[in-house]
Amino acid sequence: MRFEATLNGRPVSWEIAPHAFLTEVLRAHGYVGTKRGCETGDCGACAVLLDGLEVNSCVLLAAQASGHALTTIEGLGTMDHPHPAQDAFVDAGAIQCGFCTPGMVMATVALCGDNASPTADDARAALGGHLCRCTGYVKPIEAVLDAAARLRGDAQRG
Amino acid sequence: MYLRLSEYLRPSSVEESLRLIGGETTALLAGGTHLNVYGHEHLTRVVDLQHLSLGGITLAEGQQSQTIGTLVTLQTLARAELPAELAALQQAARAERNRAIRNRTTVGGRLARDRSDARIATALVALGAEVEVVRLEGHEVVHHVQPVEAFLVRDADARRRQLLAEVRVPLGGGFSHYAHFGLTAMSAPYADVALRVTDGVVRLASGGHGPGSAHTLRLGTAEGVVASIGVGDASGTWQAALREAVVADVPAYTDVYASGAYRRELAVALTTRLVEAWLAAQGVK
Repeated sequence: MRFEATLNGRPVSWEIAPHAFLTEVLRAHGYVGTKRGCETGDCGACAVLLDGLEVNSCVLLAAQASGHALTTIEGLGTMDHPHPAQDAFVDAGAIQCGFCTPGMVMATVALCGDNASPTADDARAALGGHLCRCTGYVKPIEAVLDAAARLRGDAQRG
Repeated sequence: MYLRLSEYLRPSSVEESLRLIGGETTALLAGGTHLNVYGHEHLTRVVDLQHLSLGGITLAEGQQSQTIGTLVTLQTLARAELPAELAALQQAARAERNRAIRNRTTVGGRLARDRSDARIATALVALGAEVEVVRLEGHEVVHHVQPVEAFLVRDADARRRQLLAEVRVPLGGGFSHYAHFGLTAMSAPYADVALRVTDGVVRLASGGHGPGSAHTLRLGTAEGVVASIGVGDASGTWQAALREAVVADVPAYTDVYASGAYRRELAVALTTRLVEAWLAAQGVK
């Protein structure tokens, strides 16, 4: 069957199997920033934005996403021009192995999209569906708050 | 990749959807978050409901009930401006801590596809909700309203042939509250309880009980105990009676995890906590 969507602002048209989940379709087409983790919607490593909302692509049939607007981590920034949320994660040292980071960054972007001034509790709630085996979450929460400040245009936090 | 789907269909009307279902290897698909969990290997066809207009939250005419479309997501429900008396429903929606899952999981999906009734199901049973199901009888689309408790009784054949269209929660003032307990904040509840008290009428439900799939139960004996407490009863003697009643209401299932007795104890503790919250809301310390 045909999969037609807007991916990172560009139209795509791919042939997919009806049983294919979105994670595997994205990765098969080179969007490997979307990680394959638990594959049951528990870890958040596969998070992407669907029409601006954070979703777990491992529990979403690719067919369900056809006709919608998708954003993956590749659509946020580039190596030369990272997204403010990506900068915030780097500057906060919120990364160790990095496997969970794309999903956390997508969650941050989604949160800041509907709450420009999140509290630490909001940040914790936003990362609630993201498992990290390395960092202990303190730095990622700082990164979320810093990302929000950067996106608001505030001076970079100390 | 464990699914063996050969067909994905996206009908544009309820009637078209009903014509596509009925077989054992076909399933309706709402948010879809339940699909990539083992247990659906037998499916060859899914019927995606995303083009149907079943996603609204409205007050029914006369404002006697709140109507919730079957495709309303838990995130929408959690954020909706609902009457305070439906607090239990929003608390149950928020009990799903994973925002990405809340963004996709629907009320209908949770009621129709979940293998373990808890959270939304528990809240809706306590709130006295009804569901409207739609099915084909001959060539005619027939609407049928039933209590959510009746819908939750697993009749696999009936479920395959019908579509859950909306949920109606009666309004009438009063108090409601929901509480749950799981291993982690992200876990499905081991047990949960919801309470509604309206004009002295008490409804209590508890989810997570059963030897295989976990069911939501009405706590009828406990309802009688709570109804007899009375607003002025601050003596603290009701706890023992309530405990006895909840134990009577929840069967001591023996499951492979030997968790039945534990879940029953959780139901006792959570019910006590909700009754205390209800009394506190009325100024009884």
